[in-house]
Amino acid sequence: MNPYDGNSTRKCLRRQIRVALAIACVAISASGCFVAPATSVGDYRNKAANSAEAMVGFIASASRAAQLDLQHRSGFALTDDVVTDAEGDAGSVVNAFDSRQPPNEASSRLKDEIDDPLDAASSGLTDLRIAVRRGDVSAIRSALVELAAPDRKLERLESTLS
Amino acid sequence: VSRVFKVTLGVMTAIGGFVDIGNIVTSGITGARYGTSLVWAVVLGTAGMTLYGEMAGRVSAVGGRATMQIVRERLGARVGLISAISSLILNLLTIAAEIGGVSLTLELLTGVSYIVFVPIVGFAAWLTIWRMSFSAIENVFGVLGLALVVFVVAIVHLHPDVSELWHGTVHPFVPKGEAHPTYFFYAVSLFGSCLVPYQVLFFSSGGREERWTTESIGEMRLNALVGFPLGGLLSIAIMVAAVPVLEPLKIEVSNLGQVVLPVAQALGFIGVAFALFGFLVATFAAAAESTLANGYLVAQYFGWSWGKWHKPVDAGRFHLVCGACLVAATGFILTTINPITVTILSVVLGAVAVPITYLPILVVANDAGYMGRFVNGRISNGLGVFFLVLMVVVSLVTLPLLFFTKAGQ
Repeated sequence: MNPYDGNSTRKCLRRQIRVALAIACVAISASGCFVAPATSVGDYRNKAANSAEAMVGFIASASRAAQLDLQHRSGFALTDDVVTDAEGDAGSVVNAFDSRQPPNEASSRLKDEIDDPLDAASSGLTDLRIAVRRGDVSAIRSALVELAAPDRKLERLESTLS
Repeated sequence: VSRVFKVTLGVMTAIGGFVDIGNIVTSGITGARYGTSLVWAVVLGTAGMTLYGEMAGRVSAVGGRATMQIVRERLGARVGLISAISSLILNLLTIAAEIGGVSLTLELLTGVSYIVFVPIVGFAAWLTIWRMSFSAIENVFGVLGLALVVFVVAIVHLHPDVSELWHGTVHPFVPKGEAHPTYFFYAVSLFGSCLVPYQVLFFSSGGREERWTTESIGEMRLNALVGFPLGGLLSIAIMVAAVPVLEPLKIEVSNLGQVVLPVAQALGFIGVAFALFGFLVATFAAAAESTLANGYLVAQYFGWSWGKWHKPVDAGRFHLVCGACLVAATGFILTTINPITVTILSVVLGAVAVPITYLPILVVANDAGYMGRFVNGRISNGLGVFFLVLMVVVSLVTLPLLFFTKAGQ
């Protein structure tokens, strides 16, 4: 048996493994690192629907935590944590949606329509966080009322867009 | 009476010790998002853990050796090294996630930022490993972890629609508007959270710490076959409690505090206190156990003296590895990386690595020359092979799912 055959087979195998690993790395990088820009109208619409849905969830989470606090069913630290996180996540959603380029005139109108309730919700969550940290019960109630309007609008928009 | 007490204690420890930050987070997320339609993943994961836990315990009792010692002896140094390195890295990630989990729970209790607690928790875990006996670590934390039963009580108080919960459980479906890959990403996460490698390493090494022999197999089996499934039920309880409270409000869980909201709604302040105490104990115990698991596996691989039955001075390298792992994990969480993200990564990567840890156990448990009359029977083998194939499939699809769904977004 020619020993060189074994060596060349091993070399060939190693080369193939290296190529396969390189392809896998590129594929993984490509699938994980790119944030797809909203290139089409449909895509932009989906992003709008997702942003509305996410914001509705943040409002619900913060509101429920604050309501439970008002009923003395949870502690300050828990309420503060949930409300602060909701506020932070809401800010991220608003920034992410604002950074999208609307692809046409209709999408610009959609952006105008959704921007207001998104901003109102984000600002309402900030007010709620401030009220919770101050332990100001009436301000907490006002912030909850303030959040109800953008919540309704966003729910309506989400169901229209999905 | 003392024997009954010992067996009961063992079962209770297995129940309380089963749940860790991975179970808590993934159960909370999936209950709020998918209702009960992913209960099957917890059932499968728990069944796999029970089966392989029993196998590892049996191997440990019969051979008088722990998993990593046997892996190296029967499968050779190279295969053993692959298994040891992958488990070591994964356990490090788990230790970091657990330290983050304890710190986040302390933040929920005190209102002080979790980052302040991270070094304190790391030090407390080291002190626990250094000072407390093995049985104290296992029993005290395991039993106190039963505080998580508060989630079962909360479910009763919430009066959920049982038929709807049951329907979701036995007829799993992907909810409208949810993508299939994301659903399966979370299924894999739940599966991985039940089959974390550190548990089987800890269980089998614990067998050596407690000097199991073939006469202890009955007790060990009871711990594994009753304790682990009941522990899995706690995971399911956390998931189910989220369904009537968080799912209708479309709340996506991204924060440990949100997992407690259903308990707050059902039971008020006392319930919250129990739930947070349960989180604290379960995650702290898991931090100590996963650290010990790393000490065990490195020491067993290199043939060093190991175990809590030695004085620290007689197992210096074992304790050094434990300390180094805690320093590394604490440092990792101190980078301010989100502990919840670390948790998701640890359970998902755990799902990738499980076959490497579990295959050697199946091979050795099948070795009649080694196991004698305690060798795997046909049923154990059939189930073992089924779960191993499942683990391989899961490990192959996990990374593509992780990247494709951008970690379940």
